[in-house]
Amino acid sequence: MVTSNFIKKNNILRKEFIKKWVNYLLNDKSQNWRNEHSLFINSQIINANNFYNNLIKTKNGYKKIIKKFKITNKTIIKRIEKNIFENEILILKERKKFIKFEN
Amino acid sequence: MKVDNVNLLNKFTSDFCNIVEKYSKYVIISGFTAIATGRSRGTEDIDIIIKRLSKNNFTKLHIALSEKFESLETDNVDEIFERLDEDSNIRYVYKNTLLPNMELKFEKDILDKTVIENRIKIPLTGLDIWFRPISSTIAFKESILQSQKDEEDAYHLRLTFEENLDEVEINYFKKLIKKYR
Repeated sequence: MVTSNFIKKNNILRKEFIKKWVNYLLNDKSQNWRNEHSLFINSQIINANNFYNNLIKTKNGYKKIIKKFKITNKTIIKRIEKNIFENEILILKERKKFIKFEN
Repeated sequence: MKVDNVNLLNKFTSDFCNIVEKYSKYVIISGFTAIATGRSRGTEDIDIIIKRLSKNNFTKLHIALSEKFESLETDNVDEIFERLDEDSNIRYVYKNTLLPNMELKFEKDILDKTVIENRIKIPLTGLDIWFRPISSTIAFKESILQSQKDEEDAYHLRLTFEENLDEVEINYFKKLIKKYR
């Protein structure tokens, strides 16, 4: 159970981290903090995009994406749906190759 | 491993602002200010306010943006302009992506106008981009937004810019915010 004491202590620890981090970036003459920061920021965006690329392949995944991002642009929706359709065709073709099925 | 310190958020924001700058005065607001100055958190969206444009001038801006960006809401520039004119936001993304996105809106009141007129560049970010004044960002985060994330952003900014902060200025913005929002 999360108590108010835990929340207070957590907030204090979080602020202590911010203080240490700011101290580091202000005193880092080599400016190496920028590399670390970029890696961190980039990894979040790359991971998020990878996740959505995977989600789109799941059943109704694309609908969740459209809902989550509140996409109303019909061109984008059609493109997403077309990608799903093309992906499904590709998957079907791969399956057909695997079981040596010929039309 | 060497990493280009122009991270994905910085590049996206720079690309977008370099186009906007040719058509209107703008200012980047919200969490990106803290992130661009080293705050260790991410964001999905970046907020930008631009000076109100006529439909004709906005259409030119939208066409220029459309080379690299698209709107999540609609392709129709008339609809986009209508939304913006009614004080709604429009989100732009790089074409064929979803993240990050730039939430664009027209200035709507004297508070937005003041922020645009007093916009600054922040050398620490390494970016050639106009930001809302630090004191105004702190004022917003401490008086309106007030989530844990926003309080920590404000704390980060207070520590980072300790020597240059003016409490009088912060309080001035807090009063403006209270009056207009």
